[in-house]
Amino acid sequence: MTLQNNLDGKSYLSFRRELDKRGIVFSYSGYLNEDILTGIGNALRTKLEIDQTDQKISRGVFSAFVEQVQNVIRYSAETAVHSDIEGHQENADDPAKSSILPFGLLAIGEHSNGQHFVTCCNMIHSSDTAKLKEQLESIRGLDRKELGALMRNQLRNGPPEGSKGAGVGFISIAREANGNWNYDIVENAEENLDFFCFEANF
Amino acid sequence: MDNIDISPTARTPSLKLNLDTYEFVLEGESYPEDTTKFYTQPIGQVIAFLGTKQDKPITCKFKLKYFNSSSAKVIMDLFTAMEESAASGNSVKIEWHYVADDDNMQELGEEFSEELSLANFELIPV
Repeated sequence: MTLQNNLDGKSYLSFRRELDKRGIVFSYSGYLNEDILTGIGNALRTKLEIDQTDQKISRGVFSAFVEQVQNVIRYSAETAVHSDIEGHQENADDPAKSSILPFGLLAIGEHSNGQHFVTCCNMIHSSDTAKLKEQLESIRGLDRKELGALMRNQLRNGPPEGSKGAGVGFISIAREANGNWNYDIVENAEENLDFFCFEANF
Repeated sequence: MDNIDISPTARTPSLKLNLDTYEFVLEGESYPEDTTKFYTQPIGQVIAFLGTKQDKPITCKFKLKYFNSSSAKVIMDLFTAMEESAASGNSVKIEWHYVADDDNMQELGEEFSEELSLANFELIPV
């Protein structure tokens, strides 16, 4: 009897250990949809309860998770689409069954200093990078109160052009994380695509 | 106009408009897959109700455990409609219920209430 595939358990174990070393408790890399958000969200809440995580931290982590995953679903520039679906339309009746699958990376865990983190990464079109940077730099350094006022202002005046939500996702995360957030963009990760990472800390 | 009675799901709140008691209640979790699809029809009806002269006081109760930023837009639209309703002569009271140790939800209520001057607003820790 010959072994068809050389499955190397050790390589997966070292992959797992690498995640552990980074403090990552939940990780997902792949195509995302709203059903995955629901499922991971439920498990995340349960894990935070089991760990008896402080309620304020738990609420912040969950909220940042929802906003960030919804951002990936809406804005990831890397998507899988059925080649036979004309126009590659999103399923308007049920986004969970949308024929477009966006790719993203999610990592939730605890840094060695005990701080919780929620990180999401996805490809963005290089042509959108400058605008995104400008948007994020405009809220850098703002405190909770200032972010709250900005959020209300934005909600009152309606979403900015190109937004698929209320246009306040990042402001809302920044507010809840008390300004403890950061981002990084790796330019030219792929042709015409940059790799965008956003992290919120609690 | 009919009463609205939408049952909650894991990601959407219970949404009720009672035309006998003049009470609107939004309760539970709000991070729908598609915010527009969930809210447009019922909230349109609630805003129409608020925009009509009513002969009894209107009470709007928010009892949300969590809402995402797309839902925050819906809440802002409701607060605007409630303030306009009060401005047009209706008696409008808004109750913002929150879990007593949830400072964030309390703050959000306080912040949204800054949109109001004529409608009554009450924070209710539970």
